Amino acid sequence: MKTFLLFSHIAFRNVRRNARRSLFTIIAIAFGLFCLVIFQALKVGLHREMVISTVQLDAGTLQVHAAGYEVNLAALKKMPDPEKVISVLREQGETRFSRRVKTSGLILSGKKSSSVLLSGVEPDVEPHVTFISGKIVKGSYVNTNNGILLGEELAQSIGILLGDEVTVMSQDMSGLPVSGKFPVVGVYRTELAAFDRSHAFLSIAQLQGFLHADGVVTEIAVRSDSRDESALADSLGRSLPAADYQIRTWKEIAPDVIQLIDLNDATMQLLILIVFAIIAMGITNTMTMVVFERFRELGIISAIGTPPSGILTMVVMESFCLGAVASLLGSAAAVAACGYLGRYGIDLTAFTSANQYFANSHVLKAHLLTKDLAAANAVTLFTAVIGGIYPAWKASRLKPVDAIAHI
Amino acid sequence: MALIEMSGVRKTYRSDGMELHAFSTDRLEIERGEFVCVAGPSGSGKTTLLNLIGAIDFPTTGSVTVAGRNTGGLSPSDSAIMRRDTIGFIFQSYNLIPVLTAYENVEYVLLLRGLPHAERRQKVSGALASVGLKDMLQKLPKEMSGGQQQRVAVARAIVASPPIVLADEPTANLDSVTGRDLVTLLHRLNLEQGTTFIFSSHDPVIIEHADRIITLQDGCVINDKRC
Repeated sequence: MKTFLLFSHIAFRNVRRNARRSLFTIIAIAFGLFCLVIFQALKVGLHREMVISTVQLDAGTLQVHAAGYEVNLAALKKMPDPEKVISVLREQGETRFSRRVKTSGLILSGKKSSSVLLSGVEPDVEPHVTFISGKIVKGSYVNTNNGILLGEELAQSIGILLGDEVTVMSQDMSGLPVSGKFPVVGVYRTELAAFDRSHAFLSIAQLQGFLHADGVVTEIAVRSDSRDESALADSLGRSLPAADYQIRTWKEIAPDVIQLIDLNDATMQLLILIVFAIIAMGITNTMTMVVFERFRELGIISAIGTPPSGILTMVVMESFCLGAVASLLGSAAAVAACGYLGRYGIDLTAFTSANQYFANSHVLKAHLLTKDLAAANAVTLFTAVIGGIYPAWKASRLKPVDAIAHI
Repeated sequence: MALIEMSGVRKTYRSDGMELHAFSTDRLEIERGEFVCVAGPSGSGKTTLLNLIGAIDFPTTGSVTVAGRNTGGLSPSDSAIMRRDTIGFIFQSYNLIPVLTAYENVEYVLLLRGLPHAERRQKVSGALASVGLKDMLQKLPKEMSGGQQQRVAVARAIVASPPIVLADEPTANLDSVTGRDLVTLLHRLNLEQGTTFIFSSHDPVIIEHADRIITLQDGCVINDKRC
């Protein structure tokens, strides 16, 4: 232990010996760490935004339907005993869920029309599941009174103002066409124009009445921030027979999101590998120069009785010291930058206005996780050690007689 | 048994495909407590002889036995340990560790041996005092003169009381007064502690103090005179 401390002590002082070279090496390593942490934090922020956009726009953490339910099927698929589902959710401590009726329809105003997905939602509880109620730009969210909520893009495209009446056409439970007039009680705007153009909301009671489907529920959306969606689905699946109910998590509803997240993760890992391979080569280069410059000195150290393992430790520790100082500097800079980017973010409106993964906001904010910072530091230190091993190994194999004779 | 025994030793180097003869001897023994000067012109093999005794180089043929151990059979780690425990080195160019203070340079060899703090402190202070540097403990090598650095190197060589001290032209870079003081100091240690000193030098002051002079020419011992 004493000798280890001695070698570490010498290594640390050697770092200061050629301050300029050490500084450049430290800056290079710190910059690599800084970039890694920032990219990782932005990636986490991006993934959070993608998940929020998916879960809180419409999907929820998971959805329960009748078995055999198919998305975009015009005919309503009635869920058997929705109260049983509600009861199971309550038993499991879930509080944020909403009954829905969904069907396709046509909205007409004068000579203009547009096909939409009509969603009947519970006005009191739906805002706990999705964020549409927080995106109202005119009027109010749907309520139990007669009225329809349209997206701003849709309202503009068919020339509708707040308070105007629109005609809605659809098919009822038995497949017969139905139509009715609904006043526009509110206009919403998410950050995803395509969604706004194609989704209209009414209260569930109104839509049930319009479709002659009293008491019919086609979907129950659940939002759980405390439980992993798979765990929640498994848990519900034990109480809700698969013959009657279909449970789909947001990952199954929007598989493209999770695939994109996986792709991002894989790309990030490749980036990490490249960045740290470059850093390792830089460290190896620096430490090789160090060993070459101190050829004679290392020979003397060996001659006076330092074993090869001691010389190896000395050089590796010097490399580790470079990495440790760089870790501190890089982490401090990265934490500061993440603090700024976490608060103000980067406005990506120009690039993401039509991107389904930015329905909540176009501002990408960094989200730094402690485990990511710790991992980045561990990788940096590991790289520093790895980068120092080859020159250290070479140094430890020096023959004292050759090294001492070296000029 | 002599402290150092060389038997049938031949050391050659290969350079550009040619074999260069550096040193050879049929038999050479050095006893404990001798104050030996290896003399001879440049290129006569003085440094090679010291390197072979110091186990930082190994014979091409033959055997070198130091304190009962054949250096040729040692692994790099074992030869380092042997040097640590048996030999003190004084080099021509001081060769202190530049990032360590005078105290730390001397303490280094004791730390390698794992001595406890109190003992290290006592020995280092004693060694530096014996070379007249007790007031320069915290000085870095670059803050000291050549003579002072060489005295620190001497303190480092003797602090662990090794049975053998090898000194390769220790006065070559010193002025005559400093050189004479240094040799006097080493001779005193030889007399007081029985340390075996082997110098490579043609400095008349060292030759004057030596009780044995081994003269080399072209890698061969041409004269071995006890004074």
